[in-house]
Amino acid sequence: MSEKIVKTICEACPISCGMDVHVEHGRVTKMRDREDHMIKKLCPKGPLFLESQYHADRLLYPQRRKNGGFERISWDAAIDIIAEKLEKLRHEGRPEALLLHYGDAVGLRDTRHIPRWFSRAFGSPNYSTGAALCHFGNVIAMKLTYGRFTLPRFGDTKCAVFWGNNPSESAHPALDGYKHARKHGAKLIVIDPRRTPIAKEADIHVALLPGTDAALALGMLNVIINEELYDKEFVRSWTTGFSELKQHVQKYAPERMARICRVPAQTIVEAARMFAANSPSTAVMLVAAAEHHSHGVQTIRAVACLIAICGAFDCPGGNIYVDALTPHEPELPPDSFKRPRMGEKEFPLYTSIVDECQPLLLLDAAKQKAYPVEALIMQGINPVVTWPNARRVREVLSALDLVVVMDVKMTETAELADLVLPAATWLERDELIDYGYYQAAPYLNMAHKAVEPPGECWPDWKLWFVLAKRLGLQKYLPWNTLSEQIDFQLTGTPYSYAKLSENLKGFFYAPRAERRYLKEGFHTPSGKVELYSKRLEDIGMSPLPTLPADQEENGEVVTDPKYPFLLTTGGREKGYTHSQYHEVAKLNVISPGPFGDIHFEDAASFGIKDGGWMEVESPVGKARVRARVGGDIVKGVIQLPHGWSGEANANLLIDHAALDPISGFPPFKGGRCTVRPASPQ
Amino acid sequence: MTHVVTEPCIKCKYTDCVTVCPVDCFKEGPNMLIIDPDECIDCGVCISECPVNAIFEDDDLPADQEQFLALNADLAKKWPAISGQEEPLPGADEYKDMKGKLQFLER
Repeated sequence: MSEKIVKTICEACPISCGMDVHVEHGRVTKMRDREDHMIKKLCPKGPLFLESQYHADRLLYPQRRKNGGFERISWDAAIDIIAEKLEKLRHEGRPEALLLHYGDAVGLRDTRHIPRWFSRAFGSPNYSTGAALCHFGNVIAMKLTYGRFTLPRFGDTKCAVFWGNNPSESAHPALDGYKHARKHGAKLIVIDPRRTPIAKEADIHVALLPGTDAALALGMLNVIINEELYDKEFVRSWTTGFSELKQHVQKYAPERMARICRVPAQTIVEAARMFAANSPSTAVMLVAAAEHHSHGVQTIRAVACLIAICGAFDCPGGNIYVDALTPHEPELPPDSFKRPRMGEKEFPLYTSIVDECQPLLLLDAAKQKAYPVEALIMQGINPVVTWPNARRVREVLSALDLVVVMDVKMTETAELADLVLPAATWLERDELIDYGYYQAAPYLNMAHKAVEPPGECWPDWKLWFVLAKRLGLQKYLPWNTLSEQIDFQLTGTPYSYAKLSENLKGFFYAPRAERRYLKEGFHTPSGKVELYSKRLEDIGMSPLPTLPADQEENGEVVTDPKYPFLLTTGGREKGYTHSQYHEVAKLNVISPGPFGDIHFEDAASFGIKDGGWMEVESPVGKARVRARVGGDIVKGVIQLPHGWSGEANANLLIDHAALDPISGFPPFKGGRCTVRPASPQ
Repeated sequence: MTHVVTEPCIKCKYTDCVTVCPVDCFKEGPNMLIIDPDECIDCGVCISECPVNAIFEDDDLPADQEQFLALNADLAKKWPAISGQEEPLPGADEYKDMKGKLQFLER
């Protein structure tokens, strides 16, 4: 038996750990961790992806909708259908009616630039990714405050803060970093309505109500400023707006914020003191809960101000940032930049900072009328399961003229498509990965194709190369192979496809530096940290972080008798990445479900049994899950994971209209609901 | 790097760990399980499954269990793989809190 080991990178989730893929006779037999990569461990999803890779349900050929079902067609016919529609839009002078939505499942790393460039080359400014509803709320708030997105440097921190992050389910490198620091006496603060495994170890666990993180952060700012625990030298030399911030936070005394968060005031005081006392070696992991509601950006702004006034940047155990190395950009037609982008008016900071449109406006009937989208091409993304208000998503997708879904299996979104295209998995194609973008690490590597794709599966990038030629756009996308495109993308750097194929360990492209701000300042208009944000003021938003209006008014979180619970959704499960891998049997054992968490006193009051079926109802819709009854969640809160299809889809409950006014993010963690026992069905 | 099964497993062999291991790296002896260090990917999922807390990361081993690192590596070379859960050994519940069980290990 001949065996080769392909040294590559796992793409089962965005973290991109090193992976050795064992291949025999053109088939992957097992996947293991790699010593010679920046990330040397795996989680269960990596090796168990093998089951998805060879699953009987993999899409193998293009299909088109016919008579309520699907019929097989050739790739030529599929390209004809897409080209015809796109040519018509172009001919009618409406290229912006094409919307691209690109996800994690078949790429997301540096291949994402290809559909982005195609979109521009074609003339549409409407390219989008999962940024529309995740991660970039943090990015926007941090960039507005201090110019770049930061991640915690846990390994040598004195105080690790997990703010709405559950690393044992979602981020093993962060957990390892923290464990290392813990052995050297680091303190731990965990902020979460649930007593997660990391919360159980915490020196301080702030078990606040979901959606009250702004109150906590503002209360901590009040304490740190009034007790003068902040870094005076840093504030004086490197920030603007401190006196405005100081005055502003006077009304956010910990006693008042405690009532909103429903935690003891002393907890807020102690968390603030511990945060400041260990600074600048206080490292904060903020991805991704606190940004996921209608007041998300202002919330993260408050936390960013906390990090800033403690000067916890670019230092041992602090918060680090990196400028990604790639990509080199092609020359694209200037005309497409003139067309208004979808969401540019409503979410100007989102569209300019993220450089994408905000596609959630598709769900707003009035906006759709004013800015109609007719063709939607999606790759590796599943909005019926991951966008807010699943019922509304179905309605909108069913009514669109041309919906194209390229994916590895027939997802709930693909089931509504006009055209379904079979995608190669990440084991079946190369991909450049610049870790500067998501992981704040100046590391460049490449995932290497291990096996050929089955059937007629194409790698995602091939669709754009073929369409570009077909539509006469090849001067903007002139490559025949991915390796040519990768070399183009690396223009101006010392790296190339050949070098990355030779040096599988990858390259660290920037030296570890500290306190770069001393020489370079911060990447903001003033060159300093902007505690007071004029950019927010200019678009009519509060320049200083605020509470959500209802909490400001009522002084506490108010629910209505019909929906007496707070609903938080999206708590990560280590077996799954969003809607992926629910078909893998062993991952179902590791992350069984679908379960909803409920406190045992609430369960008793509402007749819910542990393990029994539970219907969860919000003003938007209903979902059914099994109940996990216990004491590890605060009273008055229901937690549902996201990513489950069918009736357990938490997004059946989330309001698509209550978007954050700055980012356009949905309130995954800001809902209200009630529960009742349900029959097993 | 690897994870290591230590003394509490001896004479118990609950085998809950086996149900969650994504790489089927557990090997079975007459009265104990061990982890094959060449296959373990350090995902850590087994640690919380073990009802007697027998499993540790190799750089987290308690001082009195350090010998199990080499023991797991040695026994992995001769013991067969186990991929499904089995009944615990008879008397497991009586032996689970006992200290000094290494003397009972059957190779």
